[in-house]
Amino acid sequence: MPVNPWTLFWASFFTVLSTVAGLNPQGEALIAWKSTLKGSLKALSNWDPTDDTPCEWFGLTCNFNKEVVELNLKYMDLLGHVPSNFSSLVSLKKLVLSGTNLSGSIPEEIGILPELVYLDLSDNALTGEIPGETCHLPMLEQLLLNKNRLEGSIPAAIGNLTSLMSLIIYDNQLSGPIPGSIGSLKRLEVIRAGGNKNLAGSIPQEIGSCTNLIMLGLAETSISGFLPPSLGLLQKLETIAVYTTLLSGQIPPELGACTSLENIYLYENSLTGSIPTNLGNLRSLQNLLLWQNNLVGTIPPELGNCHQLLVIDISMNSLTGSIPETFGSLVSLQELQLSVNQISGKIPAKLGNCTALTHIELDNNQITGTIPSEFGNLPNLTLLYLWQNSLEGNIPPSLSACHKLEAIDMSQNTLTGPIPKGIFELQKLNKLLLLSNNLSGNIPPEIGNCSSLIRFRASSNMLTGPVPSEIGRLKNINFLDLGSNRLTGIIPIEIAGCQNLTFLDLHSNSLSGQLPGNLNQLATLQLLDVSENFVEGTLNPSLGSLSSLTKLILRMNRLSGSIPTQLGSCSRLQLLDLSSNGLDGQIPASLGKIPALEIALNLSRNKLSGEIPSAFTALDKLGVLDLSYNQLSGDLRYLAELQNLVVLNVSHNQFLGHVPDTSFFSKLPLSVLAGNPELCFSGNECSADKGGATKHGKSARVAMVVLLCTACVLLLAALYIILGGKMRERGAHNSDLDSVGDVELGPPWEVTVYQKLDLSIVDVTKCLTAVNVIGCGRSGIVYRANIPSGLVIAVKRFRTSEKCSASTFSSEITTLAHIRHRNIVRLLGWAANQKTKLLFYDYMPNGSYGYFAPEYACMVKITEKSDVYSYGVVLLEIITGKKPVDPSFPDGQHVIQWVRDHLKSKKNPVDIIDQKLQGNPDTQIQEMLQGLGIALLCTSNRAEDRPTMKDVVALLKEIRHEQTTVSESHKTASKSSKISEVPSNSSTSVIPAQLLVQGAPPAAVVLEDDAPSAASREERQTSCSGGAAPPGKVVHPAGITRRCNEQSNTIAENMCSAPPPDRCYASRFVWLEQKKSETRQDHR
Amino acid sequence: MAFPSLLFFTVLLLSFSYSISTNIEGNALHSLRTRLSDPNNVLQSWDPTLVSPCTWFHVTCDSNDHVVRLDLGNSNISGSLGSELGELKQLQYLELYHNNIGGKIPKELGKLKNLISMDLYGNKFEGNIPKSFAKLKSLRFLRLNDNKLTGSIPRELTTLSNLKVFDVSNNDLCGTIPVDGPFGSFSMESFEHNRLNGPELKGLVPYDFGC
Repeated sequence: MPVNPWTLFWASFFTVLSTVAGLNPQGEALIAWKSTLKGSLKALSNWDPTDDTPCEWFGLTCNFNKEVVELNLKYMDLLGHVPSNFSSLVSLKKLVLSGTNLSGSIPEEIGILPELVYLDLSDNALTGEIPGETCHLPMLEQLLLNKNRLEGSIPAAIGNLTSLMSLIIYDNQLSGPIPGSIGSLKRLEVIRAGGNKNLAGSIPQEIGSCTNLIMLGLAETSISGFLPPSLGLLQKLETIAVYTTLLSGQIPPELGACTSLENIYLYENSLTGSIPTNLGNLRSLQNLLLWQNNLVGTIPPELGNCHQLLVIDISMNSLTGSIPETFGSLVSLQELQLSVNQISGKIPAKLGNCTALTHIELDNNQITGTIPSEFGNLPNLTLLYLWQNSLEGNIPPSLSACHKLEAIDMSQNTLTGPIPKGIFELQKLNKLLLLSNNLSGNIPPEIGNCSSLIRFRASSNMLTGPVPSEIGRLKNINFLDLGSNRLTGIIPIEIAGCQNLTFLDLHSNSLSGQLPGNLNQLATLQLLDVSENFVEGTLNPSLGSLSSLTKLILRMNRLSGSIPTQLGSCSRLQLLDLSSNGLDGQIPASLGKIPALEIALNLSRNKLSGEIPSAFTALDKLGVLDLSYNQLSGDLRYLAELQNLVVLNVSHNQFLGHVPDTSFFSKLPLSVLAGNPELCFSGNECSADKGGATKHGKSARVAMVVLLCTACVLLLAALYIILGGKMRERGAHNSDLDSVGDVELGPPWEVTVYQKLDLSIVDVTKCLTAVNVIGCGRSGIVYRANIPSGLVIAVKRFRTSEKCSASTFSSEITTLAHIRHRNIVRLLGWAANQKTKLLFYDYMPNGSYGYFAPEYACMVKITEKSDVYSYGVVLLEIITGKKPVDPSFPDGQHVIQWVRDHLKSKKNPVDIIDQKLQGNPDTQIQEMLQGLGIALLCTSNRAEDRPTMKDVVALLKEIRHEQTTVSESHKTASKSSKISEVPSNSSTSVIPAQLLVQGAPPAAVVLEDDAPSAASREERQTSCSGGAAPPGKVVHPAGITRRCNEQSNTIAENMCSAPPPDRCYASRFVWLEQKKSETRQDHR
Repeated sequence: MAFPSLLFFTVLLLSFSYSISTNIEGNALHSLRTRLSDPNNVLQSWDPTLVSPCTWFHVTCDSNDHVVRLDLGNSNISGSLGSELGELKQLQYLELYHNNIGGKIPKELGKLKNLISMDLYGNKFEGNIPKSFAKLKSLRFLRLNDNKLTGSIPRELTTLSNLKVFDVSNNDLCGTIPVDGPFGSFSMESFEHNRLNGPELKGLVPYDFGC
């Protein structure tokens, strides 16, 4: 073949050219981008900078002009950013960088690619907004940005992308509305925007213009409002997936015009109204999922025309009426799910024609009639749920023909007749639930053939006869529940063959004989309940080897003998109930050593004797202990340690001694201790204390003791009152510090506590002794009171004051108790008798008790001015460096009195100031003296004479200000401090103090803008708490958590191509329940 | 568009072969199970397709089929707890002690108004003690010791007037120890091995001083 000379020429020409020119600019741009990537770039190893063009490089495609038209890299770890230098790559038609571990934002430079048709940046970690420049790509047909972390809203200019066919942006964090401009996208076939939790607003009615739309996916967003009727214009629409959103309103009947519709996924919304009958026109419909909405009305029979239907799930609505007969023609139907509605009527026998059916779930409705025997014609049926209806009649024996049946639940109906033996020939049946019906007859021995059975529950029926021994052949059975029937005979020893049995409930039957001796072979048994039968004999010690057992309930039988010690080896036992039997002997100490025994130990109503074993102290997790109605003796001391005990009953035994002195016991109702004649309560005289009581003539003795005690108490009380009265007459003024025998502390007391306090006033008064004094105030003495219950409080005892009556005291103190601030010592309560008033406070070691204004003792009226007083005392303390009641003061004077006396006697005021401060510059001394004046103002005896805290702040600022602007003191005084009518010489040092000393009321201090008290209180708080933030608000848990949303984002919009995970599917019930309860509340 | 439809159909069949649970509490517990890793199979019986969770092991119901106890102490489970536990409205005992459960303690546990005992000790819980616990007015036993909790002891807990036992020892808590309410009677052992600064000194320092 002759070689074309031109070819040769061009070949050599290009070779020369490339050798000279090197890599073209497109290649260079790509190499530059590659150099920014930090991932494993093995796939890009042939990106060779020495090549002429990048056309042979991995992931690249060129056109015949050797221009790059495609960059396509998928699912590799590039670790970097989207390229932003596109100036040499303007020929790009397809850019695919999916799953390449890219972060950062989408570069706006992407807008300069005029040829771009296909942009796929999905499955990366891109952040930021979708750049508006994306909407400048006139050729763009496919936009895939799904599975990133994009924020912001969908650009309104999206309508410019007139070539767009696919808009795929699901699983991002986009917010805002869906732009109405979307209606301009006439070629659009696919919208997938689900999994953007904050995408909100309604679906724009303009969507009706997207006449090529095949797929509309907006699931798991916050889309709300109505479905636009314009959807009916979408003749090509195959899938509408707007589930788990906030849609409301009706399903538009126009949807019936979308004749291509195959999938309607509108579940988990708040749709109302009824299911439009013209959905029956959708001859292609395969999946109709409308569960968990608020739909009402009947199920349209027209749906029977949709012969392609595979799944109908309209459960969890409020649908009424009956199941349409027409469903019998749905020959492709696999799942019929109508659970949790208000469907009534009978089950159409014609459903037997739907031979494709695998799942029938009609539970939780009001369906009546019988179970059609035609169900036996459904060869593919695996699951049949009919529970919680009003079905009657027999269980059709024909079901034995449904060879694929795995689960049957017909519980809570009124089914009668026997359990058909053929059911047990179903070789895949693993779950048979027939609870709460009226089934009768024997349990067929054929049950032994159903080796696939894992769970068999038939409790609360009227089954008779024995538990068939064939049951022992069920090697897989895990759960056997035959409680509340009329079973007779013995529990077969063959039951030990059920190797996997974990739950065995035979309670409330008429079973007799002994417990099988080989039950210990059931190594996995966790629950054994044989209560309320006629089981007799002794408890087999081998039960102790049931190491998995958590609950053993043998209540109300005829068991006898002693409780085997070995039972203590059941180390996982949480609940042991052996009550109401004839067990005797002692309680084995080993029971106290069961580490898991937490729920309950009930040994009541037996014939147990002996004492509570000391090992019971180890039952520190036990919540309920019932030992009542036995013959137990000894004391209760070992129960004192059971800190987790919530319920205790030891009544009707022969316990003696003191009831433990704990708060738990002190709060017990007497009934749980009753019937123990020799049990006594703390404080009472206890016969057991005196060398043990004998049992003979016990009651007579007790009566005697009680009588004698009462007499003694009465005598003593009389003496006390008489003597006390006399002593009081003599005057008890000097006994403040020594309260032993203090007559002022005698009854009657009026006691009020604002907290749950375990204190008795007697205990408190006992503590009011000199040893316990922790402070002396002007108004009284503060004691530390160590109450026997372990509580330590501070008690302030006011000096006797005839002026203040107990009633005013109590009414005012109530106001005090409501003050709650962490900088204010909390008032716990108070007590008053005729002579004495006591206040109870939190005890704070090294803490301060504040300084009470005189009105606290006299209870004139407590206002925020009382706090101003306290503040004044603190100020005095700071300035004088003395304690409020300082040993250096004469005659136990208080600091206020001391300062006043000092000033009154015209001594040098500077002497009052703390010795440590005396050396300070004179200007500062003057400031301190002014502060002293303010302090005295604050501690005025009459509350109305004290300034408000706002005044105080102004006064204090004034001092500071004068210091800095001495020369202009007059101006500032009248301007900045806003104090008018201040005495003209207010800037000189001791005037306020002198004013006070002279007894002049500080009426001169008036604020221009007189602050309301609330404001001043606020100011006071901030000034006292040192600017600390107020206590935080209690954070309330988020109202509703949308669980599926959180968990399934990665597959969130799989609504278009995949169903929700079953987890979400199950959670719809949660939603219904929530909705229901909300509704209930509304109606209330 | 045949491909998406087909794919959907396939996955649909797979998914729907699982069945459903019908009550809130069962769902909540099932949800918990999905969060937990259970090498000893103690949660084997937790079958979400059952009518109620009352027949599951380690779950105790009252006569109205409400879950009142969850006993999973010493069960070698790991993972984390979720908000769904807040759905167990009648729960009285939440016993999850001595496991390897981590993550934060969900604040939704504060919705368990009937809770008597919450034992989360001996796990790997992190984060703060939820303030929402202040709503657990029936709570008597609150043991959170031996975890990795941080932050201060919420002052809101001082309103729990029934609280009898409180233990937060061996965590990484900071701030001061409340002195109000039931806290007046708890021994110092309940607080040791933390970064706590001793009892709260009211008015002198903020309670969360040192946090």
